[in-house]
Amino acid sequence: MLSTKEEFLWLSPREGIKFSEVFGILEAETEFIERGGECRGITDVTYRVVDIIRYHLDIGADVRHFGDYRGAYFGVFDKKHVISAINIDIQHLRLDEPLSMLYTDDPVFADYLVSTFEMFWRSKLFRPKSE
Amino acid sequence: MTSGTIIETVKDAIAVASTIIESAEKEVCWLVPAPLLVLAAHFNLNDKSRVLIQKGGQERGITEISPLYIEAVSAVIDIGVDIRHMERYGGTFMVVGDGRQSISSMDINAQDLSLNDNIVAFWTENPDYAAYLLSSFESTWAEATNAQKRMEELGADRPSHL
Repeated sequence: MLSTKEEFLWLSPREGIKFSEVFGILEAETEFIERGGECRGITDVTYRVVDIIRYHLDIGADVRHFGDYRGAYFGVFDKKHVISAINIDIQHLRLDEPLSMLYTDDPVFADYLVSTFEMFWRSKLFRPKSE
Repeated sequence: MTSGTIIETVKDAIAVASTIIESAEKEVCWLVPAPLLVLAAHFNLNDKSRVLIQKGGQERGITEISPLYIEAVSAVIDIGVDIRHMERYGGTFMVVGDGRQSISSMDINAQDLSLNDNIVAFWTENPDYAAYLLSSFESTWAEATNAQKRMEELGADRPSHL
């Protein structure tokens, strides 16, 4: 995130949102947006994570809601660097939870995740924050 | 990481999955929404699986078994595929052959699948990516329920005509 210049996209189940708070990703995201970066995120916005989501919105990130999303987590940085995790049905994510993650700078894989993100973003299931 | 190909329709994803099963020699692992099993059967993927198993290969699959799809699940069990049930399927799709070839998608709208539907899936022969998918598969497999047990929970015995 610290080397990202233009865009950060993320898709996460709500457990991942809580996890990001622990690792200081919010602070890094704040610094990134202050440098002029654009951040968009998609998650299941529930009461459990509403404070964290409000923080994302307050710092200038654009967040959309996907009800009951339980799929994979991924983040795409400048359409090039990717971090991704498939961990299904994690009910209580902890720091020592087994988790398989993939990091790559393969542009085709990044393109695949960006396309996935944009498909979610356009989905009629979303309720934009302005509504 | 060696690159791959983006697959954009359900029909193409099934074709790739068919290729992966056909070319596998040792093991195929998959995690798919149950409606896709029905489509896959129509495209003879069950026959590909049968050939793999007859040659001594193994196939393991995870899906969400509901009353509507017991027949489709029973068909693959009869072939010799080892099936487990996962509760609250999250939409992730993957087929991995011999720890090398894979096709995967972060989310498939399982309820409204048709052949020409647009999806976004990734097809690659990169073994690192296959290992990543298999790691997730194995953790899900360990938590999943035996298919027969699941079908007993549903109170539905396997259809007698299968």
